Formats: sequence, structure tokens, C-alpha cells
Amino acid sequence: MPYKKTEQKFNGKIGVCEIGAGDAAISIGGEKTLPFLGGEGFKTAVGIAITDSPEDWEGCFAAVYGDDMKDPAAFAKAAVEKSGADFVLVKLASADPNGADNSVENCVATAAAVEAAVNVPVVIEGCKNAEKDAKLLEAVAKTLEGKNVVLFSAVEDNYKTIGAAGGMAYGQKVSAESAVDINLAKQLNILLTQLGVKPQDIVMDVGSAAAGYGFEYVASTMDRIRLAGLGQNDDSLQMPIMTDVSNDSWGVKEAVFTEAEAPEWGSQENRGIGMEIATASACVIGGSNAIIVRHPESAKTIKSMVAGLLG
Amino acid sequence: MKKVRFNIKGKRTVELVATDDENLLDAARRAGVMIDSPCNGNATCGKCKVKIVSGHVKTTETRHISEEEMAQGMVLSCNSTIVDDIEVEVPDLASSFVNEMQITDLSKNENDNIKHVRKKLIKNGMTNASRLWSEIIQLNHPTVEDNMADEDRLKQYFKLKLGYNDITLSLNVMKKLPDAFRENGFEIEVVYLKRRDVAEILDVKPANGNKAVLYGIALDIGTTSVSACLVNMDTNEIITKVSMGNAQVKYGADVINRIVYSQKPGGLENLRHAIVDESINKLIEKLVKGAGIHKEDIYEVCAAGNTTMNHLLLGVNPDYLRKEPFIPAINVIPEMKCAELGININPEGKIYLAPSVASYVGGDITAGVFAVPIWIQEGFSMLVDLGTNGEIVFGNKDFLMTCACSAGPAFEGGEISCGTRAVPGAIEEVIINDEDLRPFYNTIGHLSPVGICGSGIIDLICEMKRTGIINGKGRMDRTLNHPRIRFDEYGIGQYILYSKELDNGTKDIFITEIDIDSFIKAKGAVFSAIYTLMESLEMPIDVLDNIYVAGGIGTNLDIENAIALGMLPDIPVEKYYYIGNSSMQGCYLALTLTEGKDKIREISKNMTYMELSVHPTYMDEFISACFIPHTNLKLFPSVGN
Repeated sequence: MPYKKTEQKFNGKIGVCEIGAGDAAISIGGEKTLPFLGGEGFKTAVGIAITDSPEDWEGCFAAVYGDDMKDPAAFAKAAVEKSGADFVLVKLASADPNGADNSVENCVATAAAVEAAVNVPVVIEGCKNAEKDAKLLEAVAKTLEGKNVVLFSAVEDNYKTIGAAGGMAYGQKVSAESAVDINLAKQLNILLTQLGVKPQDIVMDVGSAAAGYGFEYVASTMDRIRLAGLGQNDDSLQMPIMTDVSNDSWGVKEAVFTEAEAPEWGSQENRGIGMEIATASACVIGGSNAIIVRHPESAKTIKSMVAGLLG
Repeated sequence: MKKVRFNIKGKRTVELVATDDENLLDAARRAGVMIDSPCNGNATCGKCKVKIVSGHVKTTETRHISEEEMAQGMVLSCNSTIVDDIEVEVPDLASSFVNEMQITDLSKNENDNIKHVRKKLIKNGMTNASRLWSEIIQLNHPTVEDNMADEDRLKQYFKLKLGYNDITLSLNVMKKLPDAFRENGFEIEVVYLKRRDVAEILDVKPANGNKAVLYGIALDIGTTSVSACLVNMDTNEIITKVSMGNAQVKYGADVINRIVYSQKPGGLENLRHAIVDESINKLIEKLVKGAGIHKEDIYEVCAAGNTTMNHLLLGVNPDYLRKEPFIPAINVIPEMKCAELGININPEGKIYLAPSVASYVGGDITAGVFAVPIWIQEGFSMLVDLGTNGEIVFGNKDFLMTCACSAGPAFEGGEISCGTRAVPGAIEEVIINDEDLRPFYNTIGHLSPVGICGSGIIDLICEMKRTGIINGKGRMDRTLNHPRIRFDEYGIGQYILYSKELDNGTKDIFITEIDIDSFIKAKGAVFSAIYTLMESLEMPIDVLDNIYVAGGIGTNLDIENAIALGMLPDIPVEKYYYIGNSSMQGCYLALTLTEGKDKIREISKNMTYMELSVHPTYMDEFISACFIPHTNLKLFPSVGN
């Protein structure tokens, strides 16, 4: 009897979100099935992260980027070239009122410079202070009108400002951030759509954790979100998922301990890349439609993994 | 030794001598002064705030007392010790919850329901009479030839004239027999209970021409409130209804806190004393005084309470109710004398307690189901009882399924900053103007507002959502700049319904984000229980012909608002009936229909209990339901954005 391959069919479909403008635009999402289960359109865009506060990024990246790190525009350009990434994420960490407290104007200028320097879609991340991010991402949305950037991310405390400015007034995309919980993710999506942001303008940042550091919660949350969207056709959970694993992966001891501190563990850079690849690949398998890493080698590896799996 | 004087709302003063370093809350409890303390003295809930008017106490700082309040002499009574002669003002907020006794009529819904159901049950073959009877009878005088004993003479009369097989009588009645027979020439009045073909003699007295009126009491023992109806057993008429807060509240707001308290030395006895002497007997006194009758004329009490209340009333250790696998000591409680429990009616008077089904489905529910009555209907119906525990019963004449969820006291106004039971002056209806966000409200009895009861809380939160003051998570819009919206020093939002400043009021009545959160959890618990029960039977919600909503929420409940909040399933409002206190109604019906009590027992045996706490999907459903109206908007198609 000939072998007949059966494929599980789902009622729901993950929405498509287009990011970037003109030639640079790419689309994420759109699959009708779980990741890598048959040929129903799942693919992952890989993003490379850069920061406006390079002093935080320790020794591992100075060797990769050299002086380019000091200028965000040059940093972004180099990162895209070295990694072959599909898009770039700029972290405006300097805006943090508990840190450098850089002004909104300066940060917006950085974002604009990065956007102008690269020919890929841009994701703008704030400093994770809800109040400051509201002001910052609102101003970014205004300045970069027409560039279709992703504002990364709106949380419960600032979704109104970021949703209204980004998703509605200036036609950008809004990422909705929640802390590894299907219900919190769902609630924020509902709040944003009730505010008037269109579902196709929302991506979900459902949270992550470094592999080995409670990742099972991430895995089950992603699984449940995708099964609800595909299986139960729950339209409040059908937005594409965008996951930034860079901070988590490079923040655990395996990546933080220098070679002097843990000589038996070998190269610090390799350890960081290893953590990042392990975490990112797990998120991709879980259904991340866009994955953001820090090291160009990680980006290349994930891209080839996805290509290999899709065959 | 220190002298402590409590001023309660300016109404009365209580003095007591406290030992040195005695805890202020303990002293108040000892003096019988009600101070609301849902957390049972752990300094976590902040409800036991009192004001030290003169003298001082040793206290520690707490987040519940602001600097301003501290300057005014406010302290938490549970973390204050008495080191001085003091005068303490127990403020309105603390004493309003366990209010003074209220004499009320049954609401229109309640009256309509009992009349309707009583007729229906009689049509279904129940006897239109209670089992309590009295007769004036003339016995033959004994002679040397007719020398049978007094008791035999009475028995003979019951056999030959009234058709009974036998009579029973207690020692107390025996003691009355010889003199009562002879005082008025062997003409006597006998009060007895009809137990099929046996008459149980409760009282024998010399006849004085008129047959005395016999009374019974229908008693609802809730975790939060206790109410009693005095019933004329000859006419089945309800004479008055009285209700008050359950005096056990001072030992904890919910059953779990009370069970925990019962394990402390003397705890079980204190709880029993609080329910019997400080609640039930007080209600009976009030009923007796109000109606101008003697308590000796009350012969029957038909009571319903949840399983924990039953245990505490009986003085049976309730500890195993709260520990897995949640086993009650007793479900079906035999009828006993009120005197055995210390309840003050006729010394021979009986108490019947509606049986429980499980640790969290008690007699209040079995009595409630009797009063609904889904157990004689062909079509599917549901009873939703919104109390401190939410209980759900689903079924028809062939089967009954039940489950319980922990809703907390929010529906009855408990653990809500300005919450109150449904008493006169409680805000029971609220509308908020779209334009200027001003509230309009009605209070029970059209008095000046004292607090918000359950139905008012439902309206208020629904209106706040509709007008955009809060979002689906119950969080207030930080961008609104409005005199009725303020944020406290911890950033917690409040919406002011009535205040000294804005309305020239006598007090401030407001709702906080924390209150809204408690309510959302309560409604989420109820909805997810309904949903999980129906899902487990693979029945869609629309098989329901009727949903009966019961509970002490208020005199009325806006079903549409309850649906808009995602508290009740989205089916047409015509299918809903708000019937008020169903447990009380069940007690009344059991009191006035001969077969009633047996029927409740039968119902309780036929109810299948589902334990939600171990149900695999209940927790997920609960979390999904903790949003207004629900995170699955498809369950609420009629509720727009």
C-alpha cells in the first residue's frame, strides 16, 4: 500500500503582518498550521539586535563590530551585513530614566538614523520603563511615519498611548508585550483591538526565557496560543509572534561569565552564541514568526536551520 | 487593668475593663462590639480601622493607615494593644457591614416566587398544610372503672378520634400531663407533630377557649448574613422578616477563615455562641417582640445553611471540610430539639436543618433547589446562588448536577471598601452619565446612601466599563482628569459616587480598583463554574430553559448588566429570574408543606456533586473569565465593545 501523508488541518489561520516600507518590506505570519507541520506557509524572519548603549554589551561584541558599535547607524548597517538578517531591532536603552535618562529627542534621532542607514525593516525597542516608553515610542511613531516600523512593545500600562499613536495615528505596527501567559496576551490584544488598532497591525511579544531557565513555561504558552488561534479559531490570538531572545540568552551565567571567571567552560562568545541558538531555535519551533538575536552567527545559524527544516 | 469605652456610630457605648496589653480587637470581641475583620486579625485587610478619641494605644505602622489618618488617631484594632484608659470610636465603615437588625418584607420577587412555587407543589400532590397541629379536646374523666393512665387516655383519644396509631411524648410533656388534664376538667389543648401515623406530642395545656396560634420560623444561616421569617402555621402567612449580619463575621469573613479560627482554643465554642446567642436568638427575640407573641408559641424552626454553618451551629469540628479530600462530618442532620442547640423557642420545639450534599454544597442549596423548583421540570434549568460561595445546580426532573466555587463576599458587599449588605440606604442601582461621568443612583428605601450593595456594585462596574472609566481588566483610565476620579498615594484608582466634598454628603462612598478586581474574580469564579459544569456534560448553554439567580445581592438585579460584565451566560434575559433568597424560601416551603422536609432530603440524595478544585480545566476557565466580559468574546455575542 502506498504511503499517504496525512496533515492535520486547522480551522484558523495566523494573520499576516507587513513590516517595513517599499523594497524593504517583508511580511510575517500567515501560516495555517503549526510550525514545520507540512507546507502551509510557516516561515520565520530573523532579526538582529543592536543597542544605543554599547558599553553594556561587554567584550564579546567589540571584536565583531569594533568602532561601528559607537554609532548606532553604522552599528545597524554592519549588523545587517554581517548577519544577513531580515530586519533590525534597535534598543533605545539609554532612554531609561533610572539609567542614562537620554532625552526623547535624542533617542528619536537615533531611531531615525538607524532607519535611514539600513534597507531592511526596523523594530524600535524602548527602555522598558512604561511611562518613558509611552512618550518615546509615540514620538518615534510620529517621526518615522510612513516607514512602517514595529514599536516594541506596548504593555498594559501604556498600550493606550502606544496603540493610539503607533497603530492608529501614524500607521506603524504595535507589538503587544505580555509575560508568558496566554490570558495576559489575549487580554492585551483585546484591549488594543477595542481601542481601535487593527489586528493586522499587532504582533505579539509573548515573552521568553533562556533555554534551561524556565523555558517550559514559554513552550507551553506558545503552544497554547497557537492551538487557540489555529484549532479554536480564536481571533484574539491569531497575530504573528515576535520574540527577542537576545537579552535573556546573553543575560544568564553561561553567557556572562568571562573566560577568566570560568576557564573550564571555554570561549565566552561561543557560550553566548550557544545559549542564543538553543533559545531561538526552541522559540521558532514554538511558533515565533520573527525571532531576534544579538550575534550575527546566531542569526545565520537560525536562518539555515529554518531553511533546512522547510526543505 | 485599663478602662476601654467603645462608641459605636454615636448610637451606643460599651465599656469594659481590659487587661494590660490586651489586643484591642480581642477586647472589642469580648465586649460584643462588632468590628469587621475579614482577615481575622492578621493586619492584612485593613478593615478593622477604629479611631482612638482619648488615651493612646501601642500600635505599629501599616500601609492601611495613611499619615493623615494616623494624625486623626486611626489605628488598626488588630495590631493595637491597650496600654492606657481609652475611648474608641468604631466608625461607620466598620460597623455598617454587620448592621443593626433590619425588619423587612420579603421582596416582590421573593413573594411572587413562593406563592407560585407553593401552588405548583400542591398541584404536584403535596399537602397544603404543615405537620404542626393543635386540637382542643375533651377527654373522659377517669373513674374507678375507667382507670387508665393519663397518657393512655390521650393515646386512646388520638387512636379512636384522630386516627393515629400511636403517640410519643417527652419527659417535659409527661411532667405537664396530670395538672394540665385536671385544671380545666380534662379539656386540654394539644400541640403535636404529625409523623405519618404517629403523633409526637409537643405541648399539653389546659384549654382556655381559644386555640392558640402556632408559629414557625424559616431561618437562613448565611456566611455573611442571617435572616429569619416568622410564619403563622395556621394560615401559612409570613408575619415579619428580620435579618442581620452573621455575628461570626468578627472571627473571619469567609468559611475558611472561620474554620481556621475554630481550631484555636475555645474557637469552636465562640463561633457556636456567635451564631446561636448573638445571631439566631437575637433575631427570634426581635421577631417575637415585633409580632407581640410568646416565644413558647414557636414550635418549629426550619433552617438552611452551608455545610460549614451547619457544623458550626452543631459545634462539630469543621476542620476536615477545608482539607483535601474535603469531607464533611455530617450531611443529613436528624431533626432535633432547638433546646439542644440553645435556640430559644418552645422547649419542645424542633429544628430541621436542610441536608448538605458536599463540603461546599450545603443545605442552603438543597433548600434553594426545593424552592425553585427545577426538580419537577421537564426542561433544563439552572439555579445560580450568588453568596460568599457561588453554587450552581443544573438539571431537570431526571437529574441534578451541582458544583460550588469560592466567590468571596463581594456579591454581598463584603470586602468592598464601601460595600454593605442590601439594607435600607444601600445603593442598589447606578447609572453614569456618558458626557460628564456623573453618577445617578437609587438607594433601598430612598434614604441617603450608606454604602453599595451587590446589585449596585454590578451596575456601577458595568457603567464604569461602558463609559470608559475602566477597561476590560478593571483598570481605570489614567488619562481622565475628573473630580470624581482620584488616585491614592499608592496609585490605586478610585471613583467617587458620593462624597462630603462633591455632594455635601455625610460620608464618602467610592469604589477602588482593588474592589473592582475582587468583583472581577468573584464573577469570574461564578461564570467559569457555570461554564465548566455545562462543558463537562457536553451541553451548550442554550439548552437552558431558565436560569434562576438567587442571593442577597439586593432587592433587584439588572440581568443585562450582569451579562455585560460576563458574570452570567449570554442567553436572552427573558429566561432569567432573579428570585432573591432561595434558601429562605425553601425553608418556608418546607415549614408549610407536610412533605417538604422529606422532599429536600430526597433532592439532596439525588444531587451529583462535581468538585471544581480538582477539575483539570477549571483554573484556566477561571483565568479566562477574569476580564470584562470575558477573554473569549464569542461567549458573549450580545455584548458589544
